[in-house]
Amino acid sequence: MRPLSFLLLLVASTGSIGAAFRYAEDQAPAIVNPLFTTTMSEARLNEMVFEGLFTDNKELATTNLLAEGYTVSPDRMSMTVNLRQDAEWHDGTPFTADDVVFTVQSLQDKGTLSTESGRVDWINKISAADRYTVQITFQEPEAAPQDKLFFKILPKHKFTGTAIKRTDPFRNKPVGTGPYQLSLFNPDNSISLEKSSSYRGTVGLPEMVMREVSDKNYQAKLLLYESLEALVRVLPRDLAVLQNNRKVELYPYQTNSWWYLGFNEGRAPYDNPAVRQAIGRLIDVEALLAPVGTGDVLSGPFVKSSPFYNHKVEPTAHNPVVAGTLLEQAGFTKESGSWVRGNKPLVVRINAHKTLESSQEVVINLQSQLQSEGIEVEVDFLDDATWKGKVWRERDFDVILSQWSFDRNEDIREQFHSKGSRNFTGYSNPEVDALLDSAKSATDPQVKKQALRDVHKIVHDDAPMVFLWTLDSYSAMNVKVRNVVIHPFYFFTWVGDWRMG
Amino acid sequence: MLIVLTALLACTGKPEPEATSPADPLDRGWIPEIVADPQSFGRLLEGSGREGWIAFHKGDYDTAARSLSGLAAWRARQEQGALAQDLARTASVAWPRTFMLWEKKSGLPEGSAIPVVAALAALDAGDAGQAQLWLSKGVSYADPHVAEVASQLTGGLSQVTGDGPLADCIQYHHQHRNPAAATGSSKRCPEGPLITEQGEGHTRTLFDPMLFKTMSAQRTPTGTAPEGSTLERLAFSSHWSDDDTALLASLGVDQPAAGDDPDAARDRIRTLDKALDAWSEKTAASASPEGVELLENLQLVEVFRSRLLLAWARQALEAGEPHAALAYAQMGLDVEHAREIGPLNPPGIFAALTEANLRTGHTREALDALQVLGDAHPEVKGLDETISDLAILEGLDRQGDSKEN
Repeated sequence: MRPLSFLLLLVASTGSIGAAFRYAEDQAPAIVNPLFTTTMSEARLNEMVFEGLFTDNKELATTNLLAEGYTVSPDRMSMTVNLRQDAEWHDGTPFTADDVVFTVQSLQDKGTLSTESGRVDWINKISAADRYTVQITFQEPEAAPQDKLFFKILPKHKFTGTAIKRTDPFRNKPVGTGPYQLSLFNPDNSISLEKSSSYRGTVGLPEMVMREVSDKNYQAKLLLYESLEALVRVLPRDLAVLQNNRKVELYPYQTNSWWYLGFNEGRAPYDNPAVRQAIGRLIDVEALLAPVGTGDVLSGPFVKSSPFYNHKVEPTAHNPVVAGTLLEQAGFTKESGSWVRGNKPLVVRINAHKTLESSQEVVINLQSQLQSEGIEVEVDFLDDATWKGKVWRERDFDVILSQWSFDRNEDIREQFHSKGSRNFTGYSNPEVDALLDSAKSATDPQVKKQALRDVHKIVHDDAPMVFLWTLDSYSAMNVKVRNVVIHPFYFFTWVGDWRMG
Repeated sequence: MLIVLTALLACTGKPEPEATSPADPLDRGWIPEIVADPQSFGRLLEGSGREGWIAFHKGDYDTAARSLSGLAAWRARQEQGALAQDLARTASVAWPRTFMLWEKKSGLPEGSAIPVVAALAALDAGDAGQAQLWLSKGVSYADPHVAEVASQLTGGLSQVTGDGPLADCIQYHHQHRNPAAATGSSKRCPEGPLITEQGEGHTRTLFDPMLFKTMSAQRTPTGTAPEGSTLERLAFSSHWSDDDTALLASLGVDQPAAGDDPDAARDRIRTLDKALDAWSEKTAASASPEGVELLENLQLVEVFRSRLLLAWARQALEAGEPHAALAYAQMGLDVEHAREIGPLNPPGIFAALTEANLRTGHTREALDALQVLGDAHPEVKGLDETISDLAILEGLDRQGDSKEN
């Protein structure tokens, strides 16, 4: 953002605390439809607009939300969910069992192509027993099916069928049952939400405004100048300044996130593990991390505090000599300082999110590192819509720089199982598949723990990704916002209790 | 930093004249004493051990306890004991909760020693009734040694006799908590898991739930503290002066708000910060250059603040107010160095974060702080593995979610 634009934003947004709760995201949600949520900013916005049958209470135990109660059959193959009868959609239409049935059927409809369809693959059938009662039968016995009914419910009356496209007009006029309803998509990419008049509970903050502030250098300033009430994720280098400012409160918001470089194993030369392992050894990850912030360099697909992190696996060491040997094994030779194969130089083409914090800095340093080792790097920064198309849907990339965030279950199955819906790299290892299956069905915590620690080791060795780091992650809020408890993943789960002091 | 400053102090001139009858209650205490008389700090380092005080400042109480003598060493051991007590309190929640949820969600593995370890955890937490419930489950233990201990344990810890790794460890704990019961035999606990047993296709490890309470008994000094100077008594502590009660009352922060209220806890901290900020600014403007250098480079006020907030967190945890404790601990953490123990992040702050998160249902978040503590204190590994098991159990039936960015 250029300085003049920043000043205009500052002038336009300066207002008295209490008028609206304004928070910054690095990128605005590209879509407000829980069926197609792929980013954290989308998930956070959804949390205010939509509701599931159940949710977390503040002790992170399952509690009723749109459900009023439930019973599970003795054989654990079915359940009956009783719905609350006082919930309404933002347009005043009553919420009923038909909406729940519709949502599940939409998720299951192959014409929907939902990124969230895995959330209902355990459901065999669903039906409305009456206006406020839902019957669900399962594919297999379920110990605690209510724990799987957190996904957001959609209004049947706003759609014409269960095959829902991303382009459905609902995305611009979303209707939920949550405490906030969308009031405006503003021209500056901000989104205004207002307390829903049909919401059954109390809501402390009458208005929320999500501001896209993609230049993180300005985010902290906007908070300090009180042009914002909150930053969802503070740039690590701003932590010290914000910590020492008595008008700001920092809240841990770790989200078990890690950065990675992912290789498309469906494309040469990345189909060759030697090439992937070589590139991993040409990167000095500590040096890449240093200008970004404080964090932990990782050796696998978990953060270090995770129960599943395998501490016996060391991060890949920067070792150009071994990298050279690996590239030679893959048929490359070094000619005039550049690695070539069949007279073609090795060029690494990286796609990165335009708005991923610090990604530009990381990529520039990565280019410098790899170029000094004889590998050309070309970079393409993609906006969110293009990213979703090329990476999520078409797998049209060579290498990607990105970040995954996980809730407290740290379920990496979708990223590393050969059938995983988020397995962008196309990674496939039957041993890993078996371990992930074992972990999924395990009832013994130590069986699951060991299986995933084994996955960590194998995935590290197979190198479908170069695992980079996890950063210290905090959100920042003006001290006048009271009664704040942040959900460790969804952030706004308990926003109804927040107040301006 | 302390090394540089001690060299600096060797070259400085006369101390500033003492202030008379200060109006600001913060003008009397160990920090104003150091700022007013930087040489006093140099004398402290020379008198009691430079390396030890460097370690004490950094929160490395193990090194401090070894390197210091007299009152300073006593204080370092007190800090060691306090940390062990923090961890014992956490263990009293972690082990029982883990095993009860294990039984509820997964069922107890056949022949496993889990009921015996659960009984030990219950006894350690002072719940003899729960211990008896575990021991009366009629388990057919795969390991005869475990079975023998289980039958003896129904009579209490003191009834466990004989040899074998589990019996030895129980006797070790009993003896070290009850010196009068010492038999002279050198029983010990295993390094690493207390029990290693074979499950179906995997190896199961169960860790010692009694470790930290014994450690606390061993490390916490008993009797009266040795005599020492004001600085030896108070430097780098949660006490500003010998009359903290009056001082904190004058600042309006001596009492926590009633109830487990994190916002009230934060307000209390902000009131404290306002007073400390004002004092620091005033002092920096009027003190000698040497005094200011010590104040800023050693972060004396910040160190005091971190120790005081840790003390408040501990009080809140003892009082059964984990949400307030979490607020104290989170605001006490220096986030610029959130992954390391240091002058502003004593080990206890990570223990407090672990316990407060655990007690407020944020089990997975408890592991974030514990991981930092574990890097410097490997004895927490068993606690980490146990809380990890608990976090996994809590999420067993849930679907994970992941998103980009």
